[in-house]
Amino acid sequence: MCFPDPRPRRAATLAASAVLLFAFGACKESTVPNFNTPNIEGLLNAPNAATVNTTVIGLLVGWRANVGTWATGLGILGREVYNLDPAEPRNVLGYLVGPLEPGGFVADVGWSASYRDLRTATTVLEALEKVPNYTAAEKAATRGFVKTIIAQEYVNQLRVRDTFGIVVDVPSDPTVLGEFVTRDSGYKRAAALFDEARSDLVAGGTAFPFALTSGFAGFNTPATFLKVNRALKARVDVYRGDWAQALVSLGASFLSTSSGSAAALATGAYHVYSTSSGDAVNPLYDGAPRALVAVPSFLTDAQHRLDGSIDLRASSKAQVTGVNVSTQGVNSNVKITTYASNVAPVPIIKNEELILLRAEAYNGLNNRPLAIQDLDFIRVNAGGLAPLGAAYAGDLVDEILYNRRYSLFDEYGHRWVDLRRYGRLTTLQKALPSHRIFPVVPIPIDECNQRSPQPKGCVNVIGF
Amino acid sequence: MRSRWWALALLVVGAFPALAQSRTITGSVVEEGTRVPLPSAQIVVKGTMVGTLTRENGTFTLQVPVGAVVLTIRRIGYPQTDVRVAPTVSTVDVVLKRDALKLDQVVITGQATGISRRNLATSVASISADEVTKVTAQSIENAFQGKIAGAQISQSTGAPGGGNRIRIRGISSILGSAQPLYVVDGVIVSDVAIGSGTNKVTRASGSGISVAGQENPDNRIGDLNPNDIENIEILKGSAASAIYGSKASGGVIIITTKRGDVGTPKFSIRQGVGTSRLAYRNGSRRFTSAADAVAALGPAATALYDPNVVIDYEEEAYGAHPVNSETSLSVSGGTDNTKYFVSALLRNDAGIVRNTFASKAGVRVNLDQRLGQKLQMQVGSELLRTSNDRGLFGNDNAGNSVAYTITKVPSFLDIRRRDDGTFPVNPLYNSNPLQTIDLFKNSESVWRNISTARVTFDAWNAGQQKVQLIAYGGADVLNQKNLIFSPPELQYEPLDGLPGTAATSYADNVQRNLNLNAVHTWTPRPSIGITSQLGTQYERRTFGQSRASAQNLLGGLAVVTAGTVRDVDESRLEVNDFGLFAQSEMLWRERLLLTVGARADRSSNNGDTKTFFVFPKFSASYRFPELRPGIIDELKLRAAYGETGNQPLYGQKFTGLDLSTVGGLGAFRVGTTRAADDIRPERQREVEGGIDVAMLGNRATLEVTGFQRNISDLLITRTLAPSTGYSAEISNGAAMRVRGLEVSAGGFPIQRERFDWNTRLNYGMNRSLITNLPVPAFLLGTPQTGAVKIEQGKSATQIIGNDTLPQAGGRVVVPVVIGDGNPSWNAGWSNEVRYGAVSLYALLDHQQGGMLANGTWRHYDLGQNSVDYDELTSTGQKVGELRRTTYLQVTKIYYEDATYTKLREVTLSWSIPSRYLQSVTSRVNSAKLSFSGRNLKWWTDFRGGDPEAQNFGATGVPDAIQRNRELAAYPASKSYWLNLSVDF
Repeated sequence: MCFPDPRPRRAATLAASAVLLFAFGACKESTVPNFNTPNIEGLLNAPNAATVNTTVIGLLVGWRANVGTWATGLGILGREVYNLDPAEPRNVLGYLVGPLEPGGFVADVGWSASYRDLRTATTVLEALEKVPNYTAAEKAATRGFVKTIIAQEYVNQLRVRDTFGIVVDVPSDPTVLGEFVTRDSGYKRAAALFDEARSDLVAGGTAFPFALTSGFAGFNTPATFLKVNRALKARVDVYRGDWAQALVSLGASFLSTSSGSAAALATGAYHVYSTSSGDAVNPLYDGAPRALVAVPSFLTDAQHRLDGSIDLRASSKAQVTGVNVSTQGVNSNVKITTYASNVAPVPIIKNEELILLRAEAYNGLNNRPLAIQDLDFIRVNAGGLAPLGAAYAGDLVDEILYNRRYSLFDEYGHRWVDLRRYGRLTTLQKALPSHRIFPVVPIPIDECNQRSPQPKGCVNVIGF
Repeated sequence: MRSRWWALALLVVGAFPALAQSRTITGSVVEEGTRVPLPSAQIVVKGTMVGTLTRENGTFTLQVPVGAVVLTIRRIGYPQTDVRVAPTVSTVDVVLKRDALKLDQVVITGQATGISRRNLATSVASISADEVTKVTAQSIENAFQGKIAGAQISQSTGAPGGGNRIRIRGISSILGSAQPLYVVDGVIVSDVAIGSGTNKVTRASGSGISVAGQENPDNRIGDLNPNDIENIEILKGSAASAIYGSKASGGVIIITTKRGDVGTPKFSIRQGVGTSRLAYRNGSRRFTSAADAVAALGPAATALYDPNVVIDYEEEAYGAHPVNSETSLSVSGGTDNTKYFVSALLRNDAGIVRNTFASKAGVRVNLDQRLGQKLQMQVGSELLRTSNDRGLFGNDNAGNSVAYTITKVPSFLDIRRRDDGTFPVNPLYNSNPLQTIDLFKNSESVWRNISTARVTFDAWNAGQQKVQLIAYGGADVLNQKNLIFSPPELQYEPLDGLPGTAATSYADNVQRNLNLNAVHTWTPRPSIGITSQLGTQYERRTFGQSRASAQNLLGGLAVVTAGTVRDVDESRLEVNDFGLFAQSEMLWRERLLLTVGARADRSSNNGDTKTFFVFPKFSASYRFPELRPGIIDELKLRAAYGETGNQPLYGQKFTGLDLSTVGGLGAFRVGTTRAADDIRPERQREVEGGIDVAMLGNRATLEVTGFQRNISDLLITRTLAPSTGYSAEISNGAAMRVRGLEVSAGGFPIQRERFDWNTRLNYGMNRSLITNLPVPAFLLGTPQTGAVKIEQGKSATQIIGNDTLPQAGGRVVVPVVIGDGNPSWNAGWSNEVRYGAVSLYALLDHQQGGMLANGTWRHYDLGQNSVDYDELTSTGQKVGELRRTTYLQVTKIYYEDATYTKLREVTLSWSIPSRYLQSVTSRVNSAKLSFSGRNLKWWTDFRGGDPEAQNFGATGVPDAIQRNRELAAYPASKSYWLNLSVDF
């Protein structure tokens, strides 16, 4: 074998030099950027207005993330609705049979999502001070908006954990844990934050540096958003039984009884949905229904109107259909019609609730006439029911709870929280003897495992 | 020793003067696969005493009588081989197949070098072409099952096209993947598993288009054509796989493809046809009264209950009788300067579920060209086309996965297809699984090219010293397209108000690497050989996928633009790695082998992209040949130490801001996982030692290996308190130890001319222990449904679950350890018996222990539809009722021991005697007819499905937990094949 032709050798030399050059080229260090998301460093180190504005909107996404948890999860605990998804039996076995365990299906209940929103919020609070092109007023306005959401997320979790308490503060160093506080100091803290936010909003000039969604139509300037802040604060005041303060807060909110129209009652701030890519759809809408149904007692417990038909709020928010959804021995043929489509907005807080909060505050101050006046406004305008009338001598708490149940059905898990506030959870009806009523949800196991000693909420809740 | 006697005798006869009427035959003898020239092979003209020995370079020259002759070639370690030489042919190249004991096989120990198995200092498993194709397999890993000591290989899903997970020497990472690295002809190839997009329909996890793991994906190594494979080596331990540095801690699987031999074209044709059948049946409850039906299924059941109707829905859904086929062709040959191997494959597997299938087509061209006296080139290129439809299976939260729904259909309900082709609405559930099977489309197609090149240049040769420059590299380019079409008329489709779903996904994965090596061999004395090498390795991987989905399809069209509600998703990644490798290996008197080497790696995935991470290795072995001839023919002691790594994944070093929108406004949210800046590869330090024995006249071998690996800098997703706003932080920190034992034994108890028996046994076990955990113990998963608890001083695969313990005033639910996900041991045992032209082969594969969640069984219970539901406990309660209502408190109800024994492979074959062949054509050298089967029989107490099934497939990380869930997978099947292979 012989190759007199030198070409192959030349070709080999050429090829060898080429690969060697390539190899030395490869010796250079290679850094590859994050192609898929912006890095947090952009927000922490040298934030600009655009990044911070976009992250503020992220707070709305985080806030909205738990809508299904409150309305459906707490709704199941308060026997407003069932989730009879045959593919996920734990929505029955976990929520209705239990026990609730820190490591179980019903323990997170929005905890992770709330604190994730709080992490984003505290990151924005830090970042916004460094934004060079924000005016002082814009900084104040943004602070006021962010702090309102922080306070609200604390309230969101206090409603779930109640006597077990919550963690306040999300320290910027994630290896430092926030402090566990009791329910009462948690509410106190939330109320104080709403008030701090008010001062910031007052100093916030005429406009936010960011645009808000259509869910905040009418409440999208610092001055008008302040009315939402006060409304949310009023809810906390009522939860705390601070009736006088509640009336003050409501006075600064968007409460209005000038019209009893459906639109006037529905005035408020909303979470909005769309079917655009990256957006979310209303998690409470189940058109078929496939899984989400009303507890049948929502229709049977409704009061009757003078013509014998039931409360308009019941008949408009749920109806019997031919579809009987059934799983694990629980069934219901009552479809939820509260939301007309999968892009229908869900109330954050609305005028109808504010009027009921005022009724509750008046009742707390033993001002029955004014309480009855507000209740009747709702009964007549929202329910089509006969007014109680000034001479009504029945238990007003019953009437407040009834109206809150029907006016605020499938919005925020109100019924469970309200009955617990008045110690009336025992009035809830169980579908099966094996079912139980749970007054509170334990602290999730991942939180328990990171803390020593463990918080008192790291226990199984057996219910009754 | 008999062989020595032969050699002596031959030397004597070879010295006789050439016969008067003679001609000269020249040729060479090489080993199959490695193509190492075989010196000292004895060549005899059959029926005469004429013979010779091959020279050092494997060549020989022999005077033979005029006319056709048959040469008989013998060499120790190789079965006797006969070769016909026609009267006009004067050049013969003989390829000897390795014998089953494989003592003379060359095993890769360096980036560009290898060493004879006889001297090898580490335990390396190998699988020959013959073993890979013994019973035809959909994916090569199926052909590994039961054949490798210390490897656990499980088929995640029974869907056509495969989908497997491999764990070699136990768990090697908590967070990362334990999947091995695949190398084909020197090029790292992709084993990526890309999700199909069925999540948009099943909502198995969230509402995204794809979540990969829970979509029963097939991992892409299954694209390869098993018939092209000459040999497979499995580098199990770090000492062996350290040459692949920071990618090797899951083991390395090295595949060598077939190449051409000098000679006239040799053709090989293999045609198979087969079928498959459902391998496991759950049965279902026989409702005995309407009251029972109503109690289980709600008031709607009253009108539906009919005691006279009993329909076997497993048979309806999984009872198809598919016709499977495989056609494989190859031709090889060449001259001294040019050798070629060309092959083609066409395979089609239809599923036991109608409308599901997997098909594979491929063409490979391998070419060896001598470019000069000192320059050689080997190139290879394979073009592959894979397509399949795997139906709608696996976890589901929308009530439409077929296997999920089947568990919920009572046998009295008739929802079978009507004569007009329509289906009744399932009044008790969201979907009619038979309609879903009929109409749902899950189409996947892949185009792939794997091209490799190797150039060897003999740069310097000064007698005792030689320098060779070897460059090799190549590219693996893969494009995958998935189309999901769930037409509006499917029962579940209108439930969300958006009838019809379509999803289109495109993914491309490109891997390329280039290795440059200088190899220096030095033979200072005949008894000492020193091989040293220096090399570099450069690798780059890019991956991108873009997906679009649509719901509410106008006109029911299967195109995203027809939908009114659309979703898009895109992600990309890129990884650049660079490594340096140096090694020196000394062999003294063919007895002592000493190796020292190191690899240094850096990667763009590390937090610090500049630093090289160094992975050293040392090994030594010593042979005692002829220790007790006839009893212990040879004994080898070996010990090795090596380090390898497991790279961080792309993106793990970033804390991102997640992107989303609300009401038309863009939004950033802080991501849920916090990154550590200094993230670096996990480091596995492994010591292994062993003893290899050849005994009873080289009729039996025994190989025993013990190992201990200490893995430090383990990447852990430290679970942070959720109140920090992060769910987890990824960092290096924990340490783990894995100890194990592997035994392989083989032998020919009987070896006669007409009758032989070959048996092989392998066994492997390992145990892990978390030796250091700098963070509090954490859970992967939730106790209610079983979680792995990572805890110092405990097994890394311990499973905890709820149980009720007595306490004052009742029972309390507490999480307790309920078992371990890692099997206690695995073993494989194969036997092949040949009598004349007929041989029978069988392989048994056994797994002992390992807890697996039986999700399918749970869903039968939850649907109150399990076959034993009505059996009564001692207290008179229905057992199904008891399980259903207490499983959240007593997790182990649906966690079972996954011990199984499977009859993996059976083949009955008949080598068609040449007298029949000659009557047809004289060109045919050999032909074989065989009847074979895979997974024909299994024995297990595990209920619900295949004890190998894994809901999360190969992509499931963390590996520690995601191996342990069986859930509504495509059911496993047994397959039968009839094959005819002809060589000419």
